[in-house]
Amino acid sequence: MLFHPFRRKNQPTSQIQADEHSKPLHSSLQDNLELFRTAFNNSSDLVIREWSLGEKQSIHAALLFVAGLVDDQIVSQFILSPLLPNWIQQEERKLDIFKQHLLPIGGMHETDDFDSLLTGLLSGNTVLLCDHCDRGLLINSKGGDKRSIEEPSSQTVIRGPRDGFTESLTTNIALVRRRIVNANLWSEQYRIGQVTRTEVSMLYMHGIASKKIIDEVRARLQRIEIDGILESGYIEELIQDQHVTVFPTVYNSERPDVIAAGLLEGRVAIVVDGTPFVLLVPALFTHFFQAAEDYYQRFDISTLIRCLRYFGFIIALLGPSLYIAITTFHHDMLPPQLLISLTSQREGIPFPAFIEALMMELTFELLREAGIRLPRAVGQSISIVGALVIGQAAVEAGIVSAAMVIVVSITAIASFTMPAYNMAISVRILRFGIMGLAAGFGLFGIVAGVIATIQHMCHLQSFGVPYMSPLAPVNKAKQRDTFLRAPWRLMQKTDSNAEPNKERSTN
Amino acid sequence: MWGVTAVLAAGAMIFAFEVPALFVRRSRRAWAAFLFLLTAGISILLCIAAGVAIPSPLEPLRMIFEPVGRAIRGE
Amino acid sequence: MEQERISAAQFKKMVFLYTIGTSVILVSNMLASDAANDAWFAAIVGTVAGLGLVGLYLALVRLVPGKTLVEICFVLLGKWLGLFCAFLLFVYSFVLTTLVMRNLGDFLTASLFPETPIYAIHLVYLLIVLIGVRYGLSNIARTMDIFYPFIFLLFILFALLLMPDVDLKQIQPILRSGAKPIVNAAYSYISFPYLEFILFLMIFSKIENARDGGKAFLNGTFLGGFVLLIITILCITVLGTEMTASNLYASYEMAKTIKIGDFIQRVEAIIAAIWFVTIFCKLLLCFYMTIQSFSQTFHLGEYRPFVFAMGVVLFAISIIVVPDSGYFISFDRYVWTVYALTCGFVIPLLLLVVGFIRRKRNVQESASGGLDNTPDY
Repeated sequence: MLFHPFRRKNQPTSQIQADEHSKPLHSSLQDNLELFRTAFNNSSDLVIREWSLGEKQSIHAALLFVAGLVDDQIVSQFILSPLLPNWIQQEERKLDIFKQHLLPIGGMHETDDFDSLLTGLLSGNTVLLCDHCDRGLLINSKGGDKRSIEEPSSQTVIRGPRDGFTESLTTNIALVRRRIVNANLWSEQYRIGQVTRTEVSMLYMHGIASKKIIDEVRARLQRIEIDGILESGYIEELIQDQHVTVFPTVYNSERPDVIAAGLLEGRVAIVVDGTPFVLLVPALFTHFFQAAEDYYQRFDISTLIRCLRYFGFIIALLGPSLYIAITTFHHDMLPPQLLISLTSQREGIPFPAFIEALMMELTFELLREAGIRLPRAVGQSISIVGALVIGQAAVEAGIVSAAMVIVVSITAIASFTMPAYNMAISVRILRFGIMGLAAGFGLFGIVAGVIATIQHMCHLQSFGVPYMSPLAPVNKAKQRDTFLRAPWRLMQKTDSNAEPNKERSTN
Repeated sequence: MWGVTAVLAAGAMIFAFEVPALFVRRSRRAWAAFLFLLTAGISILLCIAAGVAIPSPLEPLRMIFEPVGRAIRGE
Repeated sequence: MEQERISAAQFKKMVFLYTIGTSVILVSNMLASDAANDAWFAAIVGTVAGLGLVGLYLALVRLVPGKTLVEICFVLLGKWLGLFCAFLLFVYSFVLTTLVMRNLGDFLTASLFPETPIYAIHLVYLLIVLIGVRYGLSNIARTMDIFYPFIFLLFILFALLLMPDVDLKQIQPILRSGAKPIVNAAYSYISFPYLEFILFLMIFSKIENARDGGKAFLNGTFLGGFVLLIITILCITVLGTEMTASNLYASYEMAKTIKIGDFIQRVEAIIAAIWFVTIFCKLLLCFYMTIQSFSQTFHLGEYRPFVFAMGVVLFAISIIVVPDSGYFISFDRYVWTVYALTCGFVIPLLLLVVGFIRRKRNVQESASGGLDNTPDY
């Protein structure tokens, strides 16, 4: 039941192993070098180092690497240095000799396939070629400049680890491995994207994660047909369940501890080279309200804050709509004092409450988007502009009422309490729809909108798991981690009659 | 006028929405039932929109059961 | 047809929300106008009768396990008589659905939105119901799962808010006019909603564990009846018998009287919001039963294509079904009671009898490899 938006010729993605049916190498060194040169069209960053070794300098060899992608120290010290001395005698099976006796590098791979050599070259490996030998050696020498491990900018905590993922796939997997020191943490690697050939890795805990989900993720990853994967967001969109919905069904995080916790729960992580955002599936509604910090603080604080988050969600969704509904249809619900002050505020306003709310919300969305793109220097002034100029001045000009500004601000603040950004976006979209319903039908419209939203959410699935579990279908055992965060003593129990891979509540 | 166009538009939308699925199923019964329901509904709506008075479908029920009901209540 | 399964707990919640449904608005007035201050007693009688009816329906299901109501008709009565019987039940559910929708529209136009035309309200509600039914039964069950705790808690809150105004003297004198008014009142009460429960047999077969399902059915009925009892008692004690008997939407009037200090008042819109949800649940289930009985009576297989078309018909008929509210009240009082009795009591009883006779015949003929109980369609 999945559609793929890009219908192109099928090119199956493959794990990193030698293909047997692509272009083979030639025997002559010069011919091989010519192959590489034409493939790169003499790009300046392809470095070819030729030399002769052996007695009488009879063995011609060449080393190829892409400057900038390799660690220069490894190349010069551990690849070139051992090969320069000329006491090598044998003519046959030269590469074996190099492999077995001379090169002190860990990852090495011998192959006769030009394409895999090329891909390896572009990934930061070094290629060693020999004359009269139709096989080449791929030597692991990945290096180059990478961002160091820093605190993630988008998901900060007061208490908790401060390392975040970087753009390098190997570093990211290592960060997770450091936390789960267990051989059952399995990783499967794929190259996705016909042009970019991005490395994508699937991580899961063998024995905890459900086989059905693992198979489903694998199948969906292998089905992707697209030119380029630049960010995990591409993968997210291509593998998510194809429901027409505003709600996210894939979770992402920049924090290794969150991903590790998710893995321990039996979820599958998808790491994409080139981005620090790692995906986690399946993702249910309640997951988007869990923050890493909930588990590092005491349970009573965490429970209250989590309830606050749900409350924030409701405010963010319904705030302006409630204001519109009450001021338009249900005035008598307000205490008389409040009613009088609201009415006097609204007296000079030329617009009905709905238009007022719409304008303010749109203005706020503009401010928000602008705030993201601003260079840091200008950022401060924009917030002042936003608050003072637009808010205050609009009120004084009589275009909007002060109460409206308050409502919009509270709504915006409430939407920031949600730890997951993608859920906050969904709420922003839905808010407008419910505002429309409120303007037409008051409280009744709001209830209708909420009912429709709940029905829609119940319908969603994330990789086969109903989106609203464990709220619906009700699963009493897992209630310990949704609205509340139960103390660790209570959460460690695993149900004996549940599937062995779904009940570890050690999030 | 608006009512009539809105009703017809709604009917057309429903028709367009369901027709592909019904084609795939190839069941004459399903087609018949669907068309019957849709035409019945649209025609009643059209009558209402145009202002034609239609008796309530509860009338036959009322005629059968009201005497019995009143008798049971003892009135 | 898809294998959609629901759990017994979900079924209980469905029954509970369905029972409260529209009755929460109308039951107090219905009972008080006949039984005056003994309305609460009639409520108890009605609930007990309701439980008895559920027992009847469960017996029917045990006779022909795993089949929906319409399928049972075909199994027990054969092709043509079964079709006739199933058609009657389909008409029953269809009429019920239109009336429920009309109840909602009337309530909202009368109390909260006098200027909104009734079809606008019907349209909005119908749309969300159609979406829900189209998504399927498991989705409906999950929606009920989510609403149940909220409705339960909000109802308790509602009751608590009214506690200060309760005046127990209003209930007395007990049994002043004797049994007849109570029976009269209970008679109306049973027809709405308990005699409608037969339609739950359209859903019952989808429960994973039929034994738990039976218990769930009874539990849900009991809980729902209890809630209605509390509402009735509250109405009489807070508003008084006269007001309850004369106001069609008595519990709404009661909500208007809630006051906390000086600043929380006139919160009836919020209370009404609770009832929107319960009415929605009832409408959702009614519509689902209607669509299912339609597609099963005429052997149409998958029911999804007909959802929107049926919705149009429903929308149309709900506008014309009741010319004025006086008609509605008298209809409820004289016609619906008998009609519901026929469809909800007489028909299942007949089916049960036929079933027993056939089973006896089966037992006698089983030695000679007798007839099997598979449906012949």
